[in-house]
Amino acid sequence: MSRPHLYRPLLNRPVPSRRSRTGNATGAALPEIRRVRRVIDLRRTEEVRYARMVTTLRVLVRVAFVAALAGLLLPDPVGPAASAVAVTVVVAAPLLRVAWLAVRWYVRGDRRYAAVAAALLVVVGAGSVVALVTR
Amino acid sequence: MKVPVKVAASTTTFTVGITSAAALIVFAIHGRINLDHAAPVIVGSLVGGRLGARLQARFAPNVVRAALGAVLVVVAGVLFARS
Repeated sequence: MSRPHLYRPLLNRPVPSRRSRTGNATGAALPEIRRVRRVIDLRRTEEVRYARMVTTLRVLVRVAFVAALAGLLLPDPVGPAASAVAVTVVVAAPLLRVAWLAVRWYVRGDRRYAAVAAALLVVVGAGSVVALVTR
Repeated sequence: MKVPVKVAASTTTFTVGITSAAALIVFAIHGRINLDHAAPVIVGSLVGGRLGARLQARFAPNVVRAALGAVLVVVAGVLFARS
């Protein structure tokens, strides 16, 4: 039996209890009041729901491109520093995307997808730790 | 596997991005990244990625599959010649 999720009140409303269906002593049905921290409207389109993530990633792509161009064209010491920025952004962007989606899926109640994304980040983190240890 | 070629290409790109990021972290920690070479590689990758995405949306799956196969054959030939 699946339990109703706190963050999906629109699609997964709790089944009214027998008492609330039949009413109390006065005959009036008791409404069930639950505290909802955040409401996500799942009826919105994908483009709107992922708009912030898409915008952020586009900005990061442009930053990486400009930094890489600067690294390609500018002399030392600005060039290598810009290249390092570009490499950092290129590394961070996909990990940021996975982390973003993991949080989003967790909040939406897609726990399995969130777990897979978190596991992916754990693998990357474990690789980083191993690299640090064996440096 | 009956996976649409556009879905396969997108999934491959995502997978390669994650694994490359993980590998790049290890290389960076070990100080084995040549920043002089990194800049042109990043510029080429970003330009090629955007160009490829636009072309992929414009052409039919068969054309995309043939082009992808041709590119992979060329890459394999280059790697074989270098080795």
